[in-house]
Amino acid sequence: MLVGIIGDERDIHVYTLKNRLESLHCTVDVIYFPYADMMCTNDHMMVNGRDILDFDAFYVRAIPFFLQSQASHRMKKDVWNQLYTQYMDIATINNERIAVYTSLMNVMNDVCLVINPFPALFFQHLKPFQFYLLAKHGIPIPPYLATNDVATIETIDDAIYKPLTSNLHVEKKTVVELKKIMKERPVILQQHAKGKTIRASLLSDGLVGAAEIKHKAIDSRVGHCSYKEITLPAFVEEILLKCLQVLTMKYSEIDFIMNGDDIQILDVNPSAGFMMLEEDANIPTSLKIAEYIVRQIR
Amino acid sequence: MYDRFGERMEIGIFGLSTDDEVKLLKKRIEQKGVKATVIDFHDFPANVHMHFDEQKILLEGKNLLHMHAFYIRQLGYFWPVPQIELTKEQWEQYYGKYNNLLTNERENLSFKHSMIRMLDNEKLVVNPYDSFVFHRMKPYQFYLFQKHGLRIASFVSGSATSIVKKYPVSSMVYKPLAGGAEVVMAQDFLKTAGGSLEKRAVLFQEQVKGDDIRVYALENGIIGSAKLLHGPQVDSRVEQLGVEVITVPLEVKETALKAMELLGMKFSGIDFIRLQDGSYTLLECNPSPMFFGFEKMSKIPVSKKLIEYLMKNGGS
Repeated sequence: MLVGIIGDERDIHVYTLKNRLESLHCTVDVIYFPYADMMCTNDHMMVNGRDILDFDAFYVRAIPFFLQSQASHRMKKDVWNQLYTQYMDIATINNERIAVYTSLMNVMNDVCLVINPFPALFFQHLKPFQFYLLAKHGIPIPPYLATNDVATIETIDDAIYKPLTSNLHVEKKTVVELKKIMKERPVILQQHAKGKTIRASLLSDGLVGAAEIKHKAIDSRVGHCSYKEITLPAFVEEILLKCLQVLTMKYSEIDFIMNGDDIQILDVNPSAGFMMLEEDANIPTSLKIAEYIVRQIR
Repeated sequence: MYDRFGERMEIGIFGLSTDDEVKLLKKRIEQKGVKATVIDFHDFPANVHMHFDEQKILLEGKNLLHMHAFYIRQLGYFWPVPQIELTKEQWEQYYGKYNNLLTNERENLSFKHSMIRMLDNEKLVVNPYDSFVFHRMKPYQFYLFQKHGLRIASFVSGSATSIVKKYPVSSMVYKPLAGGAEVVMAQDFLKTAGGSLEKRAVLFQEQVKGDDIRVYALENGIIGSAKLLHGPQVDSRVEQLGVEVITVPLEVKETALKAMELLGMKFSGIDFIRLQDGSYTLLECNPSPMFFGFEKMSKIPVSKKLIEYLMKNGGS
């Protein structure tokens, strides 16, 4: 069986999954699109010398962008000015290569198993649309508003600020801070759901495992946190599987809040990192993904 | 004009209020006694205020979910990369803002695209959101045509250096992979691309010589077609001299409608080349074709047919 992993070989998730698949006798080709050799013709859709039709499955760790959204450090003005010519090249290269590799990813969807399918990957960057679909299908989520209208800042009780994409942290903001942000970009205001923070790892045919995340900041990614494996009631697993169906994902790490028998879904991640749960809560997600791929191919 | 519930019809147009196509559509909609609202995001987020949840989309207090249909003239770019060519002076002015620029762009894009996808789920939207990506995924568009037996010209797309080594591309044409840059002969492109070729992806297509034909269609039928008269350049858009209205054969009409269906488009300008022997080769389907100039020259009522479609299918 030939499996492609779309991602960077240096990413721990990529090489862990590669090892798991190889232990199940799969041949694995890691495809890093920024540098991949791509060739599409009327008869063949090739990447790194292989026809996409020859693959049995793909796992998408990330859709890459050449231009990073955050520079790691502030540049000096003279360095910035020198980058002008390079920037124009990068912008062109970026658009062209994206056109080819997104075309290839759509062909992959047409011909074999892809985790996750191309349309589902966008939910990471389209949180308001994700919330809309979940709410429309009766899945419990905290009340929210996507807005750039300062008159709406106080319409959600006990609201926290959420980014619409995944790059910024979830936190409490004052009205003054929100007004400043909203001059440049919209925000999601969402009611602060209180209870146990839980992350569950799921494949479309069942739960892999779940862990409670103990953390101090509102955003569990900020500061120290610890993971403890827990068992979820059947009704929760049902709701989580419905999230996957609604968002057409085959695998996800779902964040939610549990308070007694009430649950509120926070985020359904289409290309989540699974190593935290794997290392800190001993949930064998990578092995389960590999087994799922082999099972589905057969 | 009122809908079946007795409410006055209202159609939204996403695009710049200064755009010729937008202005023409607005005029045509109003001539039918229907309310037209242009939703112009040019000054977003500073001067365009919107908020939404799963039940409403409020733009300056107006709920878009109470409107009947929408036409998307411009969706903006999909990927968080500003596509405008910045001047050196503009670049220098961006110093200090860069770290925030792309983050803001991602958030702004997510907001607009989430809202439009939500609208697409609730209302008639022409063209549907998913069909817009084909403008930026030409190899995938060609793949679908080929797979479903539609006749297209040979193409090769991918990593530029590999292609140039493997294929004799000099007699082919270079097409932009995304957006509307000029189509030129591959050999001319290669001369100007120079050293940047190594990192680039390209699309070359066999040069099919013949007449450039544009067909406008809605999912329920052909609106009209014409031969595009143009100067000696490869790209028919560079020096437009006029149009000559023609009737295309039935099989070309069927191909146009089939191509649109494959790409999920409800309205399109479909480009063909008519060869000397009278046969046609399909070039591409455009999800947001320009029709202002075409309509003026050909007298084919593209905008009228488009808004009649929106009114009929949007709830009247």
